[in-house]
Amino acid sequence: MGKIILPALMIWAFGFLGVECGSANAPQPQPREQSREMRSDESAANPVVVLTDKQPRGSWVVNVDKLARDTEVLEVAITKVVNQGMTPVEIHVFLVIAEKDKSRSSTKLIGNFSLYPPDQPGSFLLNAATALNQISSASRNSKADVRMVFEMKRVDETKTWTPIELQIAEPKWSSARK
Amino acid sequence: MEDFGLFSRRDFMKGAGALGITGLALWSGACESACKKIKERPTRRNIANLAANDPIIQTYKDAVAAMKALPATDGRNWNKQADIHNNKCPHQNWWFLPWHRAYLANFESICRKLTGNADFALPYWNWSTSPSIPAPFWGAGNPLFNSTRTATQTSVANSLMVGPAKVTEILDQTNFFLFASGQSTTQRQRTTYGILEGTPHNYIHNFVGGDMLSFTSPKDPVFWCHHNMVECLWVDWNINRGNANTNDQAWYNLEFTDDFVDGDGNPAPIKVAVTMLFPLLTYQFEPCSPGMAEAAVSKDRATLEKFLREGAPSKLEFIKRYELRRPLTTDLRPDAPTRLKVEPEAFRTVLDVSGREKAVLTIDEVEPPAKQDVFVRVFINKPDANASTPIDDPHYAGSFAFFCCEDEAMKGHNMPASTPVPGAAGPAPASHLPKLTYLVDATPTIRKLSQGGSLSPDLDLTLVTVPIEANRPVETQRINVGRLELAVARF
Repeated sequence: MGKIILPALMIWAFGFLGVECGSANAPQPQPREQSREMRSDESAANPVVVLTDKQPRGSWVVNVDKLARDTEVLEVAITKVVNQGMTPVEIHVFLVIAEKDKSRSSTKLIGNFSLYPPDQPGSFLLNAATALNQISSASRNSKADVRMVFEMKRVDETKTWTPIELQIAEPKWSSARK
Repeated sequence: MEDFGLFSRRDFMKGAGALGITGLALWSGACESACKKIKERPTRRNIANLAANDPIIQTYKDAVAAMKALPATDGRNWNKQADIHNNKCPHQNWWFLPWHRAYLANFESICRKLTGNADFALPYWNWSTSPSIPAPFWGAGNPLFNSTRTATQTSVANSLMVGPAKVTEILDQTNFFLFASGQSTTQRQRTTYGILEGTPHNYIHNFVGGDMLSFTSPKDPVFWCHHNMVECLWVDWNINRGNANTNDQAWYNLEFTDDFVDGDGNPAPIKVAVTMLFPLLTYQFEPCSPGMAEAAVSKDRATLEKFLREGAPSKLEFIKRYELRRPLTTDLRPDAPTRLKVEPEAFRTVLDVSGREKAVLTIDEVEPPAKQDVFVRVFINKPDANASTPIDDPHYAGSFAFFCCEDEAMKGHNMPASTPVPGAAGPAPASHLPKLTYLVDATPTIRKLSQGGSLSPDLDLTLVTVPIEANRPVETQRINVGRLELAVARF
């Protein structure tokens, strides 16, 4: 899987719970499609990933070293939704592990969800335990880049896109036991 | 039709006193024994397994048509039902599942009432194995059709969102919040989606489209069958797979107060704790997931016991009690009725059909018989009642049975079930077992007697033991009761 680095886009090293706001172009589950979807919400302290009908993918860098050992739950918060056309969408969350020498990469689906009603924000809990097992392997291999990739799709792909914008806050990790 | 009162143990009463009583309102089937009743409770079936002319589908069509024809002032009116969801539904929090459970149960009750089909059980749409909107929901002029849908009859739901692998993934979760959505402090506070709600539930709303996109989604008849699938998965996860719900009392104790109406259109407030036993007592499911065993029903008793032992932190709020503290014995022969004197003022609130106060009979300190071959019927102001008195007699209040303890009783005595105790007319009460408490909701009977002009301040209570099966020999000759009480209660 190819990876393109766009230097104009920054990396925010805020390192909250093992997640760093990612670079512009993350490795993609479907590498033939271009990606450039990461942007700041005017403030490096409050970064978001924005998915739109034009740019339906985004990613975060996952700081493997900062993940606690018992981490398995991922909370994804859609903080803002602009979807006046009420176009139903589904969001898929992947973990992409890529060797720095580009020799290998793997993509693991963490989970997926949908907005109901489709213009309403929401926070979604996903079980990332299986995917994180792969991170653990990657962590042992310091040559790997780990990214969390979001992909927005229309529920009915025969319909045309209407203007949509979703803002995704920094993902949070936690243990399943509270 | 015969209802029976709360048939549980004392610890159940302590923990979840309101469960059985309120459950009464939702039970519409006859009952000659608790076990039989539970085993034969209606089955909610997979709509894909029903022929187009199946009576279940026809009843559903008739019910929807009838609800649409009701005046807008009737709480059972089709759009009124959708309004309930629009105004009250919790989403993205931990009350999502119990609220929709109660919503469906009341809807099912309305369907039964309006069609006269008391055995109707709402079918479910298993979108996991049948990813297109089922055929019964299509066709112009069909009450189950909704013209606003964007999905067509050939649209197929994304298996990544609702397919068998997704269902397995969801059922494999062991954490309540991951499965069932996050903790909140108020009914409509949005916190976090669990996977069941956030993925297949939300997705299907979007997949169907039209009315299903909004909170007035119950306008589409497919809504009810969609949520019935969600309910089935919760039942599977919770009961068949043994995953625990949260034990947070804030969750159990929330009461949905002004949300639902019952089959008669009357307000039907209900606590979350009460809804916990619905799938054990009032309906069961045709399996809806790969691992949902056909024989799951056989686990119900043990599961129910577990629920009872653990209890739910719900309790009745007793406003006034009228006690009779003398022990009594009920025999197979008609016994002298037990008289309770009740202040007329107590009836005033109970007789107010719009009020929330009800008359609850407590039959306490009951010694379970060693051989559970009888159950007990309770009559009010019918001193000559006996085992032959029909249960449609207006004096009949309810009944209770001893389904819980026979195995334990036999183990405790270390003897075969049929072995009589020497010197006794029949098997001795299983005195080593905890005494039992039963509640019977006497409200409908008292109201009925009042309307017939035969209600007096002095209540005669008659307890009649009845063989579980008419042609089966009965060994139990007596049942000892320690205490009787009539209380005005609010729940």
